[in-house]
Amino acid sequence: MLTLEQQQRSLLSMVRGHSLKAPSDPWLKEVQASSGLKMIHTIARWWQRFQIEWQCRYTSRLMKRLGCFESYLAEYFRKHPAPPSIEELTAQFLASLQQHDDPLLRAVARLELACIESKAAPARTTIIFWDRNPNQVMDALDRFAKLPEPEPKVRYILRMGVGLPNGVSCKRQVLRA
Amino acid sequence: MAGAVLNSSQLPPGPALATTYEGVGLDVLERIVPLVDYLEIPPDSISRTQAGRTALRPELLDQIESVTHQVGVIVHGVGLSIGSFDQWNEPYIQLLDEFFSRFTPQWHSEHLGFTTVCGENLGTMFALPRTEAMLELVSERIRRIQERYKVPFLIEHIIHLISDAPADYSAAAFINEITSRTGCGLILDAYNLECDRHNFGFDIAAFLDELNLDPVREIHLAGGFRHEGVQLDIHSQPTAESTLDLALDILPRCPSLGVVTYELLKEAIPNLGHDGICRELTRIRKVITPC
Repeated sequence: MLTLEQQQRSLLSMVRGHSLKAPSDPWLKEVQASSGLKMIHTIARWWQRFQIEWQCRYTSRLMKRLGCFESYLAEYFRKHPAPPSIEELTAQFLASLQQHDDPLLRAVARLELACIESKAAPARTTIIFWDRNPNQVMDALDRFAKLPEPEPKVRYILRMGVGLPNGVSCKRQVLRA
Repeated sequence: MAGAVLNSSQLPPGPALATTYEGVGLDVLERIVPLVDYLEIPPDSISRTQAGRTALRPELLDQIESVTHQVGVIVHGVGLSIGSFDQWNEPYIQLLDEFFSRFTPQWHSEHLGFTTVCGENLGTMFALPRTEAMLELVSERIRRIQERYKVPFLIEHIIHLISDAPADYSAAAFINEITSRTGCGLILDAYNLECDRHNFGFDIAAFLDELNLDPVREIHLAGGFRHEGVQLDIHSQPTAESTLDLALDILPRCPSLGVVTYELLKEAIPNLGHDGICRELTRIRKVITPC
């Protein structure tokens, strides 16, 4: 019979999606092949997805428009174990998007991450570069409306921090060729 | 400290009624408070983690305190992970410490399960193997909780999604051992029992016949749904008639029963609506109140 530690470590491994190599224990063998384990995976993904949609509202809306929400989420949670708290889960997820190819997605995710971080470290100032008007972007995501197009040779510099009037400032800058 | 224990003159005939409050907003709170005797507060749901530290949200504590002259409070945790082989979840204990520094709940409770292994979240809750080793581990932890908080502590059985690990005890005998070794109370969840019957052919009648019902202080009601034929413990619906019937069958057999709780996840509130929740609470009150 397995010890508690062996049992629980094996379950953790299976929940992570790692297949146990030929488990000798009959119960583990049964669990690994069970529909219940698949259901546990499904439920865990539901919760994680729900938390992302709930806490990272604008990022998830933009990702759905870009058609990358489902695939990115599946890949992300396959690679990263879920931390115990929702705040850590969402912060880590948003931070991971800083490597994404799409500049608008990087900017929206950075904005939501800055909002989360500002609760823990209000003194920090964050600078986010946008290729289009951030106010119009957030408004469009809020209303499920059409997104503004990128403005050629223009960037918007959004600053967030407690030292700024209303905690935020935005400057449009024309870039020289 | 807020007095969260109701005196007998404030309670209705029959068991008192409670429902879950996860800090979703004053609009919901103001609707449900006149309909219940207790709020069931899950500390995990009213907390926030900042810079690696988890703490209760002060604005939600204020909300709860604002209604403690009208309703009592019971605490129902999800995050203790009482059955983890390595250690329980210490941040949850800190949440309890914080809650108890401000409120005196009628009792507090936790599930007989584990949600973390080596500090990693499993994304779901697993039922405990019913072995002597687990019995000793859980009993020792319950005793530590009982020493720490001077209100009754209750345990609740959970649903199974995978088959039972090899066991030394039947489901009822395992719980009987825990309650007799520690003196803790028990929550019977009528919906969980129905889920196990649907998913694994669990014999509810035999379980109840074997179970010592004296420690049962609380009965849980909830409604869920089926996914791919599996009845899930996701509290998102009104209580099914069959669940209410089962609860009514259990009720008179539990001499220490104090509270019937309708559990609902905050995520389900938009679907059910405020009116829907109020209708459900009124319906349950009517059913559990003796004529």
